[in-house]
Amino acid sequence: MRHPSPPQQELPTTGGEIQAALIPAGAAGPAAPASSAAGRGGGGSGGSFTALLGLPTSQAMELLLPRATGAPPPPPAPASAPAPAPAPTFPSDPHLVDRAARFSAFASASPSPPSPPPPPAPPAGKRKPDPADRASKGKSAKKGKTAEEKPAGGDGEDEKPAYVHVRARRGQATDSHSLAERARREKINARMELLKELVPGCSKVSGTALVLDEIINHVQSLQRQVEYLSMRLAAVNPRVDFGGLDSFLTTECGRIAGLNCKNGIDLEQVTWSEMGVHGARHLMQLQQQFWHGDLAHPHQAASQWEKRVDGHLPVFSSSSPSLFGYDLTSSGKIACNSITPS
Amino acid sequence: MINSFSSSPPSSSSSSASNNKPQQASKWRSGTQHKIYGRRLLDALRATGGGQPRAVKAAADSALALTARGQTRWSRAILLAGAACSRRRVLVKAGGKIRRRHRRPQQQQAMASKSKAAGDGKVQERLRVLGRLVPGCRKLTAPDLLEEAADYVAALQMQVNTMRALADALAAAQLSDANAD
Repeated sequence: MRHPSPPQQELPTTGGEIQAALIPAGAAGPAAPASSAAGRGGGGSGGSFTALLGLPTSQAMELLLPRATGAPPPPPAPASAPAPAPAPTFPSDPHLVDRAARFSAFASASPSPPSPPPPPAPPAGKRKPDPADRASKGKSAKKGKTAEEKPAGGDGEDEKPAYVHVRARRGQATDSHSLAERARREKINARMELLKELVPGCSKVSGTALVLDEIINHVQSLQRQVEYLSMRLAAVNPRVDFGGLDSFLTTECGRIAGLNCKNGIDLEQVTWSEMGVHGARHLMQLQQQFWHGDLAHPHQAASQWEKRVDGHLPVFSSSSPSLFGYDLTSSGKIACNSITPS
Repeated sequence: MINSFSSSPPSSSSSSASNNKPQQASKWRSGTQHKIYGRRLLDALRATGGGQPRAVKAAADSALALTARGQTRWSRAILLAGAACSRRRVLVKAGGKIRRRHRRPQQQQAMASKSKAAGDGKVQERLRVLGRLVPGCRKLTAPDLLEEAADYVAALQMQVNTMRALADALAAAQLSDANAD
């Protein structure tokens, strides 16, 4: 069952393909039945497609299908036919635009409520009442103690001419040094809060040192996972050519040519690896990049490379990161540059 | 929560989370970053010779740093390490040098206050270890280091997820091909 265009219209233009591939089937499941329900004019409630529009399903159906009849059209034909037709009318629909504006307004409004809570949260979290700290100035007074947050009515100097927005708390020293240091400490504490949210299992731990321990462990474990996964990918890479990946990423529309070529190349791959040619894996990589632009004569090209590759193999693999640094977006160019067949 | 906001609707997160708030580490949770990085990773993997975990890891890290768009220190450090081009090195280093001049007077004060507030010894040592773990952050002050670490952790998590999904998909495809043949 394929409904290519409707879901891809709604997803961001960087490509809904990878999402279809990489996000597990559980998430892709609701999207597919929702689109099929859309084709049948029915009521799957809130599939991701219609939910994105922010409209009830019936209204979305009216907008989608060119004829707003109640008769459910057969799925495959009108799913593909009306898909290009309503596409130009989407932006011009005032109802949709209004909804989109409200949606984005909602989206922009929501960060503002969370932002006031975090600044009061760190001092609230590390609240240590010190009523005796009234008269003491100097740095020992502020060390690890934050009084309860009240408006600093008793203090003489509440506002500072400087740009740092720190409220001097009751019973705390208010000279510029301590204020600046307090501001910095609050910054540090805010960042620590952020990190604590990111790293799982840190909310229970109290104390900066232990939290940092957890963070370090987490970073190390993530880095180890990356190494392990890169080993897996390296092991998988030589056997699977990237024509297969094309079929993953660009699900239906797109590189059907890649699919055909992939089927043709697969047999050759098996034979190459069986031959046990030195650097046969690299040969296959070069081969794929070659026919990425040009499908002609993999046999002849491969024989040429056999002589070249033996001497150039180490150069190739070490230069690939440097080539990589230039420009990743034009992968085609990189392929052509790195091969340079004579 | 900011995190849940950015990850729920992909269309709005692509416009607001990834562009307007570079400081928020939550942008790495969005689906668009996932896709962008997946694409870049595949391009990078195509470019590598294959069969060498080192090259694969370097490619994956460079792809991750590129997806970060050089807004963070660690991403610039990774790109620096990979780029052989002197032109790019000069550009990135110039940016780093200018920033360092601004930070110097603040650094001393910040380090003094950090040692006071954060209980010295253990915390300092752990901050140093963290600085060594995050690329390009060895000599950073506490708030900057923590910010870089937050972004780095989020990015690493996304990298791990993407690579795992890719490896699983490739292995599955490989198995199906082997069975079909």
